[in-house]
Amino acid sequence: MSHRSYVAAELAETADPDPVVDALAGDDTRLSGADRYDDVLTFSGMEGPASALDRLLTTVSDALERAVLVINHDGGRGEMIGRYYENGADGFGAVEELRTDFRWEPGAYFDYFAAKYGIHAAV
Amino acid sequence: MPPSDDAPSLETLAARVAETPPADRREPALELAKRRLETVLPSQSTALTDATIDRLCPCLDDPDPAVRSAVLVVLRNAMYFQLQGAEMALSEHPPEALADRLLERIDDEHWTVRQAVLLPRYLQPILAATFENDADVDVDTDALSVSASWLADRLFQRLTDPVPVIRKRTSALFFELEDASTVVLAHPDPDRAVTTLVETLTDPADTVFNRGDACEPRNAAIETLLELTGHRPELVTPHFETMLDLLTGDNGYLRFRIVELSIDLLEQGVIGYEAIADDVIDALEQGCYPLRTAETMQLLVSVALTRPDVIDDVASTLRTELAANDSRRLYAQHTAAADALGRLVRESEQPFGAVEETVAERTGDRSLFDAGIDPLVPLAEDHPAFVADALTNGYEALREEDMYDGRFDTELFVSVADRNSAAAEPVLAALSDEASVHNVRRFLASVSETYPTLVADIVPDLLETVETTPPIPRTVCQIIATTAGTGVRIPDELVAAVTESVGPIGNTPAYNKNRRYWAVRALIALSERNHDAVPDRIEPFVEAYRDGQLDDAVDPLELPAAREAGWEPVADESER
Repeated sequence: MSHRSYVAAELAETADPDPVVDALAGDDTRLSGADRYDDVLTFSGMEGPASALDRLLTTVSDALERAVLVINHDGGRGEMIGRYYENGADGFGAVEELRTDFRWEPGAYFDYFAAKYGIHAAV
Repeated sequence: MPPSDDAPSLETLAARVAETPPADRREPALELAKRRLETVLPSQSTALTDATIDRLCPCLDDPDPAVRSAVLVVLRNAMYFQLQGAEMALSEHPPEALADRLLERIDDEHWTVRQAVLLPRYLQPILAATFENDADVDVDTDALSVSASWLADRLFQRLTDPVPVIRKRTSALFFELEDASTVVLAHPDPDRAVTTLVETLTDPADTVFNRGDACEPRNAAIETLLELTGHRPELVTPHFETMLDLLTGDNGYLRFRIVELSIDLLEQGVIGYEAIADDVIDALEQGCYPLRTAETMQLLVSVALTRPDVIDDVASTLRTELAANDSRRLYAQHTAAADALGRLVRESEQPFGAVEETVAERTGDRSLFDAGIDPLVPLAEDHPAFVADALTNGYEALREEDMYDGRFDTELFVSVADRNSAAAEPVLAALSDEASVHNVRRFLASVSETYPTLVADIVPDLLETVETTPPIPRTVCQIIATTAGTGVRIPDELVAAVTESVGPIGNTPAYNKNRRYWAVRALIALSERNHDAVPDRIEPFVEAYRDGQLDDAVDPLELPAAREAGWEPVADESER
């Protein structure tokens, strides 16, 4: 099963972007990036599944205010998962998830999270 | 998670949005959008009726941008179903009506709304119908209330949107068009549109995404400018000088495309060489002129012929290129460099070196090109030292790269050796230091099939790098087999190790049969030279080889004669 994933990671105030870029788009991952706009770093690549990206985001959670992950899984009709993360009172974690049981436009999920939380899109 | 069956229907959720007063509308609108996104495919239960679509449309003007975005996410999907003519869709509205409503929000003051309008999947059919009269798209542009000119203007505004992802989505839409110059020509002020494109060439927005989702604005801009140059060069020429500044910029792809655009303008007779000479020479001097194709190299020559002061620089650049060790490029690239250099020499008044003169002679017609001959091959006859240097430099790559499949392969080496062994010998001598590297051995083994005598010269050096612990690698056995006839002395210890390599050996991995075959071939070749250390029990293999029963598809240990002579068969299937 292969994956196509997209990440928008919003830096915490005064956070250094370099460790975030190293963790998400370093030699050990199949993500590329980052393009930056305001405090949001965007990445994409063949990394996955969602649980692996979850762990990657968690490794740099101290530097993140919020994040959106959208991933398309192949295989059969595929599957698209989108998650919105926040660094809240209980620490960093997914606050909301979207799921479609076939491959679809990753931008569509980013549009939803943009509408609801005002976070910028990766694609 | 996708909604369960007893969750409220899309219709119910939509009705709730319409019925809720504006102050509280955000939550139901987002709930509706979420339901829409999680059940995208059309079906009886998830399609919206026209009545519901009509009730939702006013929410596109809601004061809350989150409501506008959420409703847009839902309605753009409804339009998509209408466009698809999805059989299950309930709506009978023409898609143009919704398209009108969605396009009204293309310059919404809030970025989330603009972003939602610009999702390529949904907007693309409208653009294809508007700008390309795409007959496959079921959109009646006469039924749209917006004109092509209006839409072109808005697209160019979005190409400069402050939010990068909106610029990237807009760029993807340009890319999706067969010929995006139609958008420029539809623009109310095409010159302003071209200005925007030229400014977009320096847009820093970067992306690694598929072009269908989002792409780099600068790439969409240069593509569009190239297409426009083909149709209406006079719209591009006023901005041409600004573009030429990028010939010394840091984006190699843009430099290349701008040279291509220059070539198009030259061929159309819209500009002369003097218009580009300074910028081309600056790029050359900074080492960033794009030598990517025959055309870009020929342009360099044409410029040099008008500017004698740079002829030496151009000649040396092309000479380096024709000999270059760049595994990413095909031989045709180097043939193009030879061809360009030849033309420069022939058409210039000034004297050149011997190599350049030979290149000029050999490229007088297009025979190198037509025969697909690497320029180093014909040069080997008269300039063995030059070619040997180029090859030595080229085969360096064997030492470093895991998989080498570039210009410098066995075929090139053998072709050069065919013409002049003096151009080939020094190359092998240089490689002998690195004979422990697998790729180098594989290359030597391959060359030794055709030129055993050349390889034989370096076999003593090669053997110094070989560990005499069996199994001896296939490539080494192969080199021993092919060069044995030249009388190279193989130490007894190594012969013993090769004999053991016929195996089976412990639980060595299964690369096996072929290694055993070449070990046997090495022993046969050595026995033919009466090497003392070859044991008598090799005899059955010698006979089998003579009788044509042994080839590299046969596992020698499986031969009946081998069993009779006391060679043990391979016990484990996995060893084969």
